[in-house]
Amino acid sequence: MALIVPGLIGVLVGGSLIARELEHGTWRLAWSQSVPRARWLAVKLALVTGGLIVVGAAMTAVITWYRAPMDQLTGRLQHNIFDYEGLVPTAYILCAFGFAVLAGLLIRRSIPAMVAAFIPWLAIRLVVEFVFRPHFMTPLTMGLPASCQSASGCSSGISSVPQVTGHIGDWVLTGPAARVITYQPADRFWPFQFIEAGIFVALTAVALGATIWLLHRRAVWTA
Amino acid sequence: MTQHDAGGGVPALRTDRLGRRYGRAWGLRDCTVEVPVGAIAGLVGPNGAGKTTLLEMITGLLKPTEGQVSVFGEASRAETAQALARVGYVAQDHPLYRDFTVADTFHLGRAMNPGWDQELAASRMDALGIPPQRKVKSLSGGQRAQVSLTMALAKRAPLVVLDEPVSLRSGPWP
Repeated sequence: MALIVPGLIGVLVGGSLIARELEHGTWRLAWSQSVPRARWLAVKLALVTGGLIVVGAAMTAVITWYRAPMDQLTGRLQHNIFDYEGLVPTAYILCAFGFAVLAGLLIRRSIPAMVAAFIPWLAIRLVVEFVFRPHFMTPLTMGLPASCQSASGCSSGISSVPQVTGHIGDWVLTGPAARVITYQPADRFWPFQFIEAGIFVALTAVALGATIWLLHRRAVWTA
Repeated sequence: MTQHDAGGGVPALRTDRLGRRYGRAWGLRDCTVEVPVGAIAGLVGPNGAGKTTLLEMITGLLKPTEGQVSVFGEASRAETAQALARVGYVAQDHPLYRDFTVADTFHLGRAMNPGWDQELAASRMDALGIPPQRKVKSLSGGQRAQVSLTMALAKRAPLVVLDEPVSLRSGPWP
């Protein structure tokens, strides 16, 4: 459930941003004032993006404060922890917002735009988490500790018990069963945050840039 | 309707073989008109004749498929602040932001138009008895039409374009 909250916030705010003007006919009012529509949109996007950053940062701060004692036991690099702290929740919100603004211009209706933006957002969100994130940086490897030679001795998931690698918070990618342990060390939390947030902010910039360009092109005459 | 008499022979509005295609059907084609400075020109035609299409191309809301529009001698090719400032527009269904008050609506007009005449806007609302703090959605259709018209007039554009102005007849004319 918590997985989709940033996406919902983003599409709810973004889906109606342009589509509402097209649905209610107010685009005729907004775009017949003395401000070119691309600039009108750019200003609107800057203000709303700023607001979303504040909301995202506040949400993240509350979650991080609430989770702080648990983070001491588990580190912050595991699934379901990494995704709610640092920079990425805000970046997820912005990305969903950007997709929804673009969809609103193309589809011209708020609710369908929200749906059309949410689906690719969720797909990308999951692919990045499970396919790309484990390889943001080359994992470290180590041999199997003696204590783990017998099958079930070591855990590799989220645990308060120090893991096979010996450090709390390391993210174990392939556990004892694979004979060689590969893992991302716990101190890669911030580099990973910057990489993942960077991906989603870049996607946001592409979507919003495309929206401004499309709106501008629609207004510039070729004849 | 055009204001100001300066111009010296340059028409307030000129369209040259203007056309707009929607998909495969032409909404308007080969439309050449000229309106002199100081004139009030009416446009009459059956539904679907392309009246709104023509007006939206004049205001710059709609991009022509072919042809050209000149306002006071200047061709509108790109949507620029200067080109937009030359034309005031009242769309036929008087679109306004429903949750805005009348004062909010004029605040928008002031923020988005360098030539905005707040005094004109305020005195028109006063004359019509529309309180500025009223929400747009609580106004009658006629009052909304007047707020819409006031938005276009207070912009102080030299060319004012009204779509379906019959619905505006109840109010005072400036």
